[in-house]
Amino acid sequence: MIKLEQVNKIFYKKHKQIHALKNVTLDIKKGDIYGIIGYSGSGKSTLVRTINMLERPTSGRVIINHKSIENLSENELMPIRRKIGMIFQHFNLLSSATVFQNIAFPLQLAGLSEETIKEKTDTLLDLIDLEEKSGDYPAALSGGQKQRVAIARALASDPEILLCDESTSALDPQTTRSILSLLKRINTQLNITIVLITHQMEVIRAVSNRVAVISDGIVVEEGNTSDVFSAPKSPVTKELLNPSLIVD
Amino acid sequence: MTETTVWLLAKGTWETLVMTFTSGLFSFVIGLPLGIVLFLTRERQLLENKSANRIIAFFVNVFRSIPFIILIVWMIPFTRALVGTSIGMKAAIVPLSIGAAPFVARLVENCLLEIPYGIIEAARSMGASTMQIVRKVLIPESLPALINSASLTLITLVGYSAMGGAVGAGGLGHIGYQYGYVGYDALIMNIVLVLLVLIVFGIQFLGDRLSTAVNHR
Repeated sequence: MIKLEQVNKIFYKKHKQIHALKNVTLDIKKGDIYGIIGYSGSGKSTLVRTINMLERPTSGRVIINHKSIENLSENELMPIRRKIGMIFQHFNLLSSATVFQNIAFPLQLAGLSEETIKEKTDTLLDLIDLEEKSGDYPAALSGGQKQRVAIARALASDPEILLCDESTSALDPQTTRSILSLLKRINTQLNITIVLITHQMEVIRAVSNRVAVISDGIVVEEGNTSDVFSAPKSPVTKELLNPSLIVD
Repeated sequence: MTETTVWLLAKGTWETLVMTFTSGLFSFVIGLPLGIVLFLTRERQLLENKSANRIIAFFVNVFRSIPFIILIVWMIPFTRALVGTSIGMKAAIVPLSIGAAPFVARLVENCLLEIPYGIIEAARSMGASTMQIVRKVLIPESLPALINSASLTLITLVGYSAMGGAVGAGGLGHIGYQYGYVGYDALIMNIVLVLLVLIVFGIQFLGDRLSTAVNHR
């Protein structure tokens, strides 16, 4: 479903280059909840953004449904992006739009009729269990509720893929649990492939069937979550599995 | 105070209001798209383009450096070509609009810079075109700030419009100058000042109310 082949990303800043991704190759299958874990600055956010071309790779190929997309123009990417939902750490909802309008936003972008938008948005409000907040503005919602709205918005255009960029990192453990169970439900009921970026091992453990560990732009370990967790090979994975906050 | 004086002040107030609001409108018609382009062509933005950004920024800075009273005179040939005359209120509105437009452009650019980048990124991830992002994300998200910028611009224009007297556009500023500075009529001068203060307070009050009403943050 999603293939990355030898993807490199180099950022050019004044007088220096940052090699954010180094020859990253991944194969994500339909129906996976694919976890990508690494510390901050490891390149995982850049990695997830190459999947919908928010960041264009410097070299390498990105293949979605057997179609190579790294050379498409911004206009050609628009219909493909509509089939790839994305949620973020800080939710990124429109502060000037109500819950309803936020969820309806991608449908309006696609130019659907008012009735279709209303019908679709109501179904999604039901899915995230926030019907009573329909007319509220995001400022009146809790973090967990905002992320639910963001999920509904990402699902509005019936995507096949959902990208989650640190989507539970700003939430408390209880809210994290409810968001993860919603993601799991989406994965099984709607058959949506999920790619999940996080620095929290518990998140991967809770939902992912496969995991890639990324460190300094390199995928250091990859495989079934249970295999990687029972026999971690790289030092980074071991450290992620056994974090210690002891300060000396 | 005679009836003629009252009439004079009423006419002056009207002229000031017309000049302020008309040129305010035109300065936004020019400045808003200019500010949006300035924002979009910045580094890491949707239409990143260093040379386009520099060229626009250059012209914006040039027009912002010209003192307004000189801009009026300097623009006379253009004003005459555009509205057919170089004197009167119509003629003052042209340099007022052109003088305020670069100021508006910078204000708009700053308003847009306040929008968290993640919101624009989210819109891109949903397959929004640049035009859709401008219309459905940038403008609604910065509306409270844009309204504050409009109040600021209008208040600046109240002051600028006083100089419209130089091309016979009338207005309160001109009355204040004629009767106060030239004729030394303290009463009229002070009434003019009070009226100008009232106009400025009125614009600020309405602007604040409107900005709060559309702010859902």
